[in-house]
Amino acid sequence: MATSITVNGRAHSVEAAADTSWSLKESVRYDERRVQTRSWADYPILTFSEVPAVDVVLLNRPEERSLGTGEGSQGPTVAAIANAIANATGTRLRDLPFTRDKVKAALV
Amino acid sequence: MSISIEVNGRVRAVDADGETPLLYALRNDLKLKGARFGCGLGVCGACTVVIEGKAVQSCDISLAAVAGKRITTIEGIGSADRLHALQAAFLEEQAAQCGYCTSGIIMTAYALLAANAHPTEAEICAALDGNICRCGTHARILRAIKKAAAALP
Repeated sequence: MATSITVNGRAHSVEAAADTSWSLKESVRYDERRVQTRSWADYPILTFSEVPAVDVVLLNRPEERSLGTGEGSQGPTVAAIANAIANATGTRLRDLPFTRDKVKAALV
Repeated sequence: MSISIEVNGRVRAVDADGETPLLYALRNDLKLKGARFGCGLGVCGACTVVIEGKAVQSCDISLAAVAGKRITTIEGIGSADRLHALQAAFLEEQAAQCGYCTSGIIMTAYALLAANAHPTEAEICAALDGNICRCGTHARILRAIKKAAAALP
């Protein structure tokens, strides 16, 4: 990481739970002909009750040049969850989202 | 036809069909733009207002159904120079990214705190499970609501 300029905004973008949401829940359903997901009523997304606690630690390195950090946590979060599943089960999932059904199917 | 509704303590006449969603009357007729159109189906919470003390999704309820009832919108709980504790806490915690869900979430929290001044985190989450936040700002929103609850008498 480089110089932290807008520290609070940067922490905010890292702690956002959207990455957890799409790692574990989000997908649009299709059948052979068309999109079946039509609204927020049938699109699964993380709710308040499901959001994990997140601690953000920023490493300020003023000697490095500044970079954008928008959505910077999103790749690593998906990878961390995938690694945790692999560590716990010995099976590596490569198809998002990692739903309960997909994890169970991978264990059989 | 004209329908009278009470919004933020004022009786307002709206010249619209009784089947018009309350949200459309608020935004288009009364120019109260705080409540947002999200899904139009009553499932995302962006349009939440408080009616007779309850958080209600205003896209999904008709003008006729709210005639004569007390409606509170985000514009009615505070102003730029006299913020409600919830509004102040959301600013202090910077509890918004895109901000589209924010007024609906504040109104859900407003109804919750009126009924339960010191909710647990689980109670706050349960109250907010009908409000979707696409950006994932949940953690800050929860901090802001807890801060507001602590600040309110």
